[in-house]
Amino acid sequence: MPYGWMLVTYPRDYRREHGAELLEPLLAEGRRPAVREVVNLLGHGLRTRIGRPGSRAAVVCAVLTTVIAGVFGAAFGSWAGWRTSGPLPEPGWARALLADVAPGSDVETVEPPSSSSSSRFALLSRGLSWDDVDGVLFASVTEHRAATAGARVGLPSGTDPETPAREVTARLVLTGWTVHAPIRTDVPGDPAAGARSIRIEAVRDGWTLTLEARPAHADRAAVLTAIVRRPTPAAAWIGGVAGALAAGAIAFLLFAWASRRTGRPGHPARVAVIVPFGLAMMFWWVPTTAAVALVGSSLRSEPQVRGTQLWEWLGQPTMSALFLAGAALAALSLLLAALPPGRELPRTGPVTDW
Amino acid sequence: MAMREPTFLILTALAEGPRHGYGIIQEVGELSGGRVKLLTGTLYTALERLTAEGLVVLDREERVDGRGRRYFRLTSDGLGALRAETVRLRELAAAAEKRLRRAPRPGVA
Repeated sequence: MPYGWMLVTYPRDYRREHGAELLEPLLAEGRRPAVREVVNLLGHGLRTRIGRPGSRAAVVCAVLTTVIAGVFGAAFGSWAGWRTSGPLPEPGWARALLADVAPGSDVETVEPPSSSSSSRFALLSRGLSWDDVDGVLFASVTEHRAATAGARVGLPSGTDPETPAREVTARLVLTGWTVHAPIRTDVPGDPAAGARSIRIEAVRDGWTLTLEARPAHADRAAVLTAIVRRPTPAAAWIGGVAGALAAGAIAFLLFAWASRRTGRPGHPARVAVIVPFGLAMMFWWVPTTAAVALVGSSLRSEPQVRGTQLWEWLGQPTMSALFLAGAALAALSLLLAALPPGRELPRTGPVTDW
Repeated sequence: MAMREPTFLILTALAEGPRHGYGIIQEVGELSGGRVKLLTGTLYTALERLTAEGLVVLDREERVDGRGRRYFRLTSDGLGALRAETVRLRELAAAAEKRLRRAPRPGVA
């Protein structure tokens, strides 16, 4: 059929039975389609897939399903892409950097411990293992982000942060790091003292090093910290986009199939399917909405915290038990939709095939 | 709730009797003086919705040049909805005309 490609979003049986009608103006007038005609047919093809033609709620549910699946797919794709990122420097590297600046002081490794330095991700500053399943499911593990490597050293009381910061910067420049201009901020609660924290960022070989020198204040000693992070790998962005598109498309097709099938007269789960589907949406959307608010609020109160990953915005892994419960309910909806239609289902006229 | 213009025009196109999809598109174009050009995606989605709402029903199916054509017609509910909307629009138009007659002419203080 000429221009049959314009009907690609319509269900196959609908296309077969009514495709010629949809293209009749083009065929009768012997003209080429305008862009708006193509867009119109592609959009209404998607609407026809959803079925339940009298229901606007079905369209809203399709959008909710597609969007939530798309963002979860993006999070998964991003997580998978992160696994291609290169290794961090050995913990000893950051210790050596600081030991030269503060000779005689005890330099401690920040994270991760040397036994898991090759881990791509950190759960509460350590690598992820199967032993964490309980913690992930029952919300005792709240953070899963790209691992960092670093060290921290206490500075003698009265040390001006400018001095060690200047020395470390000089060493970084000598060893090929590109060092950005330092950012100085007042120490909270002690502006009269005049001492300020210094934060310096440097990049080399795909790593980002954040150096922070804080003066002593209140009951906290002066400290110099160096943390190395890997930048977000390109594969994480690509994985995120691919994951969003694939998961969104699959979710839409599954929803549309179930909606159209259960929307036909005589389907035994025509109404019952709404219950598990509605609960699944609640188990996915409520924690996600709450997590977006929580992470947003946390970032506003601690803007210096970095490395928040997409999955954390979706409440993962903190609320993964709810996500899995939602997935189980969505699967139940699909099983109900797959039930064979009742005998009374009329299948004779073309109009009933909606 | 007020009826959207394409819906009103589709129901109006079916008021005189059953029509197939392409016939409705031509009729709507004529009714609107060429201003409204219904696209087939919009038309058939609307026809399916109107059928689900009980305002339109499939009258018959024919084959022309090997192509299937469905003819649709108004139900009594559809006829009632069209009458009600026509009255509503007429009343609105009358109210607007009444105020327009009393409206000051541009440039006249």
